[in-house]
Amino acid sequence: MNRRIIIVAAIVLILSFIGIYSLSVLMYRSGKTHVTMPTSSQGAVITINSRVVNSSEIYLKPGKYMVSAIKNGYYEFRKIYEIKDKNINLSIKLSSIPDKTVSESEFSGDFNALKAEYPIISNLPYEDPLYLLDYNIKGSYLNGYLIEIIIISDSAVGRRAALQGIKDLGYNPIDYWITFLNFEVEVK
Amino acid sequence: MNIKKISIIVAAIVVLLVGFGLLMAILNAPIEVNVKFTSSYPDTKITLKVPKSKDVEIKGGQTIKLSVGDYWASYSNTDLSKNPFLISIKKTTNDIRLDPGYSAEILDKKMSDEKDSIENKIISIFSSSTYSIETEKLYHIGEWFSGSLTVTQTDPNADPLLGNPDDYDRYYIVFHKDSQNNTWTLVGGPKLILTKPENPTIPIYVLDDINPSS
Repeated sequence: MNRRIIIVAAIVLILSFIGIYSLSVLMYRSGKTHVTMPTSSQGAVITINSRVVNSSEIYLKPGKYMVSAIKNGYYEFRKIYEIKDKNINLSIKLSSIPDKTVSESEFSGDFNALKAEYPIISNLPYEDPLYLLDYNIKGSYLNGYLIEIIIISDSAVGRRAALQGIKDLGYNPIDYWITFLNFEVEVK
Repeated sequence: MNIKKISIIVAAIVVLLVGFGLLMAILNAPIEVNVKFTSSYPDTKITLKVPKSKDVEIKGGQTIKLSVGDYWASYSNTDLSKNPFLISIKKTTNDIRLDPGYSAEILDKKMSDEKDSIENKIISIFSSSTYSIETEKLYHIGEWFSGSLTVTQTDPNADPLLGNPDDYDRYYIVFHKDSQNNTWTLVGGPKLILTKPENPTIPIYVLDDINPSS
C-alpha cells in the first residue's frame, strides 16, 4: 500500500516538474525570436547589449541589439542587428589580427621560452660560403610568437645546401616557416 | 599463551600479506575496455599484435575487449598498405576510426591512370614557364598528389648542353582531388620546401615524404 503511494507521489512530482518546466520555457519564449549565433572562432566571448551570452542559441524580443564578440588575437566584432519575429541566424565572423615581423625592442614575450620552443635560434645567424641562415620573430603578444627562418643565397645549389644545413644543425626544416630572401619563384 | 600470541601475530601477518597481495593484484590487473573499430574502407581487416598472446584479427565494425596499452597493427586486405601502425588504447577509448591507405602497387597503378589529367592541370596552371615534372606520387587512397617542377630552361635561346643541372631549383607542389567532382586543386607550392606550419591542410606524411633534404 505504502509502496503504491510512494510510486504515485513520485510520478505526480515528476509530471509536475515537467509541466512547470515546460510552462516556464513557453512563457520565456513567448513573443521572442529564436536567434542562433554561429561563431567563426571557438572560445569567443559574445555579448548582446553588453550582457555576456553563454550559448550559441538565445530567444530575444524583436528590436535592435548590439552584438559583439571578442577573442585574443582577433579584431573585435561589433554589429547592430535588427531582430524581427522571424528566426534569425547571426553570423559572427572574427578576423584574426595578422602576424607581423617584430624587432627585438617590439618583442614583449619571454625570449628564453621562445628559445626553448625553437632551439634552432641558438645557432643563428649561421654563415656558410654558399648561404646565410638567420631568423625573424613574427607574431604579437596576443597571438603569440613564432620563428621564421630566413635563407639568403644567390644560387640553387646554395638554397639546397641551406636546407641541408638546417638538417645538419640537427633540425628538420619542414617544422619551420621558411622564407628565401632576394628570391623569386620561377614557375609561373 | 606464547604460542597463542605467536599464532595471532603470524595469522595477522599472513592476512596482511594476502591482503597486500590481493590489493597489488587488483591494482596491477590490466584494465580492459570495449573498443569499436570502424573504417573508411569497406570490409577492413586488421591484425593486432597482442603481447604474450596470439595475434587478433579484427574486422571493421567489430567491437572487442582490449587491455589499455599500445598495439602494433597492420591491414590484412590485399589492396591496403601493409605498413604497421600504432593503436593506443586508453581508459577512455571507445572508438577507433581507421583510415587506411592503398598499397604502393595500387597507388602506382592509380598514378599511371591519373598522370595525364594531373600533368594537364599542372600545365594549365603554370603555363608561362618551361619545366619538367618529376617525382610524381599519390598518397593515401590516391586523393593526394605530390610532384616537383624543375625549371630546366629559363632562357629559350640558351644551349641546353651548357646548363648546369645542379643549378636549377626544384619546386614542390601538392594537389588534392575533390571526391565530389573528381578535379585536382593545387593546395601547396610551388615552393622550394613545403613546411608543416605553412601548409596545415596537407597531411604530415605527404610533407615528410617530399622533404627535399631527406
